[in-house]
Amino acid sequence: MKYPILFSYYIISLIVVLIPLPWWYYSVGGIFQTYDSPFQIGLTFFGENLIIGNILNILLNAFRIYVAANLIYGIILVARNNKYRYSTMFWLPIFYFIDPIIIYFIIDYLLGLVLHIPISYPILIIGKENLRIASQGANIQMLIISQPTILFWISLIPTILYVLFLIIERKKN
Amino acid sequence: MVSFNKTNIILSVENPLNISITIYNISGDYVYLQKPYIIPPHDSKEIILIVTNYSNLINNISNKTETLTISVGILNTTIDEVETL
Repeated sequence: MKYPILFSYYIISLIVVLIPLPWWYYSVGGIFQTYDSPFQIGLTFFGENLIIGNILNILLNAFRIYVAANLIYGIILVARNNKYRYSTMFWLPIFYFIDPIIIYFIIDYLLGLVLHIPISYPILIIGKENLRIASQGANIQMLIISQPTILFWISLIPTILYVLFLIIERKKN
Repeated sequence: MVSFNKTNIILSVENPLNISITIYNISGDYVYLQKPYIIPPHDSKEIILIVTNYSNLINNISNKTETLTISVGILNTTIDEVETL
């Protein structure tokens, strides 16, 4: 086999894609909670399941099947010594680090500075932090929890393997 | 409100949510909450406010200067509100 690292990238990616477990847990004061991965989502609001989550799940599972099909195609081509690149599984875990930063900028700058809603959203990727909102004599304090699950850390293995593959390819040239 | 006398005020609080609500404190110049109360989902509970000085309280209410600080918790959220009676 000419590309063993690329091959293992595809195999581990396929396993990660087929495991039907969430990657990340996110909670806003316990009132809004979500367990999600790029291929599934569970949403609760005041302890009740949101129907929109079920609708999104259909779309996300379709994406799961699409990605899995591409990965199987990749496994076949790489096994035949073809240098087929499909970097989706390299990008997906990285978005989980970028997303909280985007949320922070949207909430803090757009709501706080542009629309003057008194809100202080913490910048946080992993951990617990308090969100404070003050309006009309009421002070609301919400505990924001953002935590990856074990499957998220496993999903980083393909990311590392893909980087390794790119480094090795660059050295060859 | 259920009952009102010189030493305490009894209020009935209803929880319409699927999750329990905690009332940490309700306090004013002359009243305070006896203890924190947890109200289970879809349930109501009577809570007791202790009156420390009845005549001053009545005075404050008629002058509209009695302010109550209410602290309520739902899961990991705490809401503090100041109300004038």
